[in-house]
Amino acid sequence: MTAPAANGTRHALPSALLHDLRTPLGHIIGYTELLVERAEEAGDGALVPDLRKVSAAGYRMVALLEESFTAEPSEGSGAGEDGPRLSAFILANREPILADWEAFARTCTPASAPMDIEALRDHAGAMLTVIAADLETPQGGRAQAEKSKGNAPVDDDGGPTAAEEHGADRAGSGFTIEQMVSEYRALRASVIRLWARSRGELEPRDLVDLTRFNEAIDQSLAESVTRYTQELDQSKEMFLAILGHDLRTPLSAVLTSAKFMLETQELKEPSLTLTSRIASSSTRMVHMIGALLDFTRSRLGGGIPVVREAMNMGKVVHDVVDEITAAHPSRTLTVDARGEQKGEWDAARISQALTNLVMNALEHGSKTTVVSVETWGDEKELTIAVHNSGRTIPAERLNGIFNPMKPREMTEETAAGGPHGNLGLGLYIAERIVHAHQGRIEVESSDEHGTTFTVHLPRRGVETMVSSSSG
Amino acid sequence: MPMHKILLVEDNEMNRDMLSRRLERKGYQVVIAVDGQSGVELAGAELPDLVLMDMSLPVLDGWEATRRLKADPATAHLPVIALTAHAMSGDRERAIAAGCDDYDTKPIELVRLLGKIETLLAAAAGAAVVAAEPSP
Repeated sequence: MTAPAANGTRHALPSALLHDLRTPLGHIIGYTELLVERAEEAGDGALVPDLRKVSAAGYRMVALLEESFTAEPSEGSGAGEDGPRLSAFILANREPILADWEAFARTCTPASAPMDIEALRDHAGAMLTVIAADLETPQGGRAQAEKSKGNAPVDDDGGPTAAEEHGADRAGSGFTIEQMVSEYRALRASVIRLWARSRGELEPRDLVDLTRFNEAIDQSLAESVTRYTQELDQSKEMFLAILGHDLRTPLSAVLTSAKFMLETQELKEPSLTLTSRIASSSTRMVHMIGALLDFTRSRLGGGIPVVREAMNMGKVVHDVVDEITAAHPSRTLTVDARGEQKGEWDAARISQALTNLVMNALEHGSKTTVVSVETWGDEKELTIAVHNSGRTIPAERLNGIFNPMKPREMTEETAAGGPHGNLGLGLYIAERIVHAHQGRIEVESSDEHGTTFTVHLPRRGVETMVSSSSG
Repeated sequence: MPMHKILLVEDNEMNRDMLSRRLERKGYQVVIAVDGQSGVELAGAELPDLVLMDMSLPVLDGWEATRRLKADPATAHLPVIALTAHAMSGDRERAIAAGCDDYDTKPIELVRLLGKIETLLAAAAGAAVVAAEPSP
């Protein structure tokens, strides 16, 4: 399956992603090739075939990224021309109308997507039939007003209308929304031009027909646009999901090889350093891709899955903080767990969310500041607060801070090649995990008190969510 | 044959380490700058035979650093190869417009990059010979 690449380049997340994944990938390839050169010179050929496989895996990942991102969005096209029984006229003149329309549509076909003329005619033909039938049906003033706003009820059978199918198809074949709108303008113009020519003088009744025809076109257009945008959002996320899965296989080959070489404990310097660096870069990529897959899963599949089991939050918090402290010996982290810490949560997911919050505090707090994690609770819920002093998050960034589509602030630490290179999805994923536990997360930031992320988690799940006023 | 000196301007520690190791193994002397500003200063002080310029650099980015190198008569002749992490079409034109002599994308394919380095060094040597010949 190929994801529609043409739209990816216009999306903030994929272009950041491309950049971020290329950096550790470059390290993996470079260090591996260095190892190959050294091994060959030393006459130590035993490792060379395996190393070559590693660099081949690296290049395969580069190729995957390139294929996915190099397609450019096509140029917008020129505008359409400004310009029925009308229904009988449309049905009787389908061929000339479609020919006229097709001639126009060809002029705005993106070069990258050779258009299937048969499919184009099918949609347009189906739409004309629907419009003609609509013109035959009497309608009151309200239906008319709704239709002109694109709010008419959808088909009885609930299936996609011809216009919806058309919108989905256009999104899939790389049309811009302007091009799709131009097509409708052309369809409208074709019908009116041909009809006016056949009628000569227009009568009052013709005007009624014309008005209804325009409304029917508007309705179709609204349906197409809605489906077009839905399709685009879906395809972007599907595209990321596929890319993430595709990258995982070669990446795990790289990581396994590097770990194996390290475990033999036979490596001497500088091979030891080179191999450690391959391992650390591929581990970073594994985390990035894990975050990417969590992101797509939460967008496509109705949330991050959680499995609740009895656990002790205090222990999880201590474990997370110990692990992060080990990796950042220069920083000070404190834990204060008070009162009852037991509850039913997904320990792996909770520790992932906590890790993301603590890493965020480390990255954005000043280097000398203490990062503190506190937990306390009552019978019903447990609260976890992650705090750092340092720069205040500006109000305009606080709003929507969990939204992964917001352009993110790059710091030296968080840049892709930096020590904590990531995709900027950490807060989003933390929020989704808390949400999946029917909890909520808040953030406060001020010069006086620093920045605090506060998580509220109900101690156990509620089987059926009625309406939760707390959100 | 004298050892050619390459100035590598790169902020990412692993990229610096990796590329300088690889170039040194190919017989080049490598001097390193970690941002655009020190890159410009080091180019003036060291007068390397060629500059490998990362484009997304702190303090002063690679585009501006290249413009400054090319605007200064003391360093204008140094061949500059731009390195960018984006394979966006248009980056190449942008790099040439900034005064870069060539362009390559990351991840680095060493053979390809070495080809570009050698071509530019040979062209620079040719130009130097022409300049040194007495005019008729």
